[in-house]
Amino acid sequence: MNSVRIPESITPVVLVSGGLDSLAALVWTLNTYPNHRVHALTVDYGQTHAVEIESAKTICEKLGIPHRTIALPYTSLVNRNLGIRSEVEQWEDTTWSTSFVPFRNILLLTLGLGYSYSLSVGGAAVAFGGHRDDHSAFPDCRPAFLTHLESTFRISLGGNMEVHVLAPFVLVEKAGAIHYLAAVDALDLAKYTHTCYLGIRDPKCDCESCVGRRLAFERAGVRDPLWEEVSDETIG
Amino acid sequence: MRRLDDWEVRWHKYPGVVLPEIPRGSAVVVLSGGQDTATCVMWAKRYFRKVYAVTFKYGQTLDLELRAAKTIARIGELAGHEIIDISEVSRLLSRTTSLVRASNLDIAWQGGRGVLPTTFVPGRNLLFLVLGAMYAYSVDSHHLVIGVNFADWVGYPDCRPDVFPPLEESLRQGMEWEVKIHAPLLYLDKARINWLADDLQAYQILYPYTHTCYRGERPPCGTCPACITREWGFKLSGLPDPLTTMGDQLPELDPL
Repeated sequence: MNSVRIPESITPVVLVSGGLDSLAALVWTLNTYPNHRVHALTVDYGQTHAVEIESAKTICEKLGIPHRTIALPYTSLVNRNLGIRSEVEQWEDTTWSTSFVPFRNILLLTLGLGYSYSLSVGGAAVAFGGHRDDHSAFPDCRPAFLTHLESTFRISLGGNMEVHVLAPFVLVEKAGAIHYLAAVDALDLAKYTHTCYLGIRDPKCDCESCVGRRLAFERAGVRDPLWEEVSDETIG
Repeated sequence: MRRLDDWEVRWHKYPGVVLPEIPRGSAVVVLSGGQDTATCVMWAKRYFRKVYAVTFKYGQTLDLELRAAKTIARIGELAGHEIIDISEVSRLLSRTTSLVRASNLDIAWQGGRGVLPTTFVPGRNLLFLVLGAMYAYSVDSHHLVIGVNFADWVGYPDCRPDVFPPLEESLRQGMEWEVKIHAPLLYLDKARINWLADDLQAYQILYPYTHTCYRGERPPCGTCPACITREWGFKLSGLPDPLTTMGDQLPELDPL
C-alpha cells in the first residue's frame, strides 16, 4: 500500500480535505512520485464548512497542483434520514465516533480512483491521509478495507489494470503525519489547513477534531504553525 | 427448497432470477426508466414487502428518462422514489468518454481508449452501486437490485458478475453493514428479459412507460443504437414493442 512503484502514465489523485492529514498525504505523494503529474480532488459533501474547501484550494495553489472541487448530493442521500441529528443524539449513539460520515471514504476513494482513471492510461491511483488513530472510529480507514476496495476497483476495470490506494500514514498515528511534514520541511503549510468541526479558529476549541490535532502536535513535539500565526497577530 | 411458482420453474436455471429463499424486508431498485430496470421493479415486488427506487441524473440523462422512471415508480406503487443529481460527478469522470457529453451519438459506435468502449465511464457503475447502497442504508434496507445484463458484459467490466461479491465485501468492511446486490437479469439477453417481463407482468403494466431512445424521442426514433438494440430484442422475443405498436394509445409520462 505504501510507496509502491507506479507507472508514469498514471496520474495519482490525492483526496484533499483542507485538513492536516490530507496535506501530509499530498506532500508525501509529491515527494514519492516526483515525475508524475499529481492532481488533487476535494469533494464537497454538504457537511463540510466552506473554510475547509478554501483551505484545500489554498494548499494546492501553494504547491502548484491542479485542483478540482465537486459537489455531491450527499446530504440529500443519507442525512435526511440519519445524518443531521441533534448533538445529544450523536453523543448517545456510541456505535461510531460522532464524526463518522456513513460511506464517506468508500465514496471518496471510488470517486478519486475514477477521476484518476480518466486522467491516466492503464490504471488509477488515489492517495488519502487516513491514519491509525482513525481505525477504531472509522471502519473505512482500516488497511484491510483499503486493500479490499483496491481489488474491487481493479476487478471493476476488468482485472488487468494497475489500481493503487495509497495511504502512506495508515499504519502510523496522526503525530506520525506531522513528523513526516516536519521531516520534509513542509510543516509550514499546516498553517493553511483547517481542522475544527465547528468551523471556528480558536486555539482552545474542545471539539473532537481540534483536541486530536493538539494532542498530535504535543506528541510530535512541534508547535502548530496555525497558532504561531495567531499569537503573532495578537502580539503584533 | 421451497415449492416454486410456475414462473419460477421456467426461470430457475438462470442464476439470480429465482431466489431459493424469500428474503424479508425491503429492497432498493436502481431505476433508469428503461425496460431492464422496469423488469427489476416487478421482480423485486415479487420478493420484497417494500420496494424503493433510486434514479441517477447525470450528464447524459434525458428528461424523458427521469419522467419514465417517475411514472414507473408511481404505476409500480413503490414505497419511495428518489432522483439524485450526480451530473458534477459524471463531468469529473467524463474525460475519457463521449456519451456523457451527449449529442455525438456516432462516437458511441466506435471503440474508445484501449479495449473499453467510449461509453464506459470509469467507476460509474461502481459509484451507482455505492450511492444505491447509501440510499438503501438510509431507508434501512439490505437489498439492492440492479438491471445489468448480458448485453453489458462485453464493454463494461464493472457490470460483470465477479464485481458484486467483492463490492458487497468492501461495503461490509467499510460500513460494518450487510448489503446483498441482486442482479436478476445478469445472465439474460434482451429477448429473455422481455419474456421474463412478460411472466412478471412488467411487460403488460410497466413497459408502455419505459424509455430507451438516446435521442429522447417518444415514440422512439428507431435509428439510434439504443432503439436498434431494443427493436432487436423485441424481434427475437416475438413480442411487440408497446412503444411502437400502441400508437395513439401510448400513455403520457408524468411531468417532472
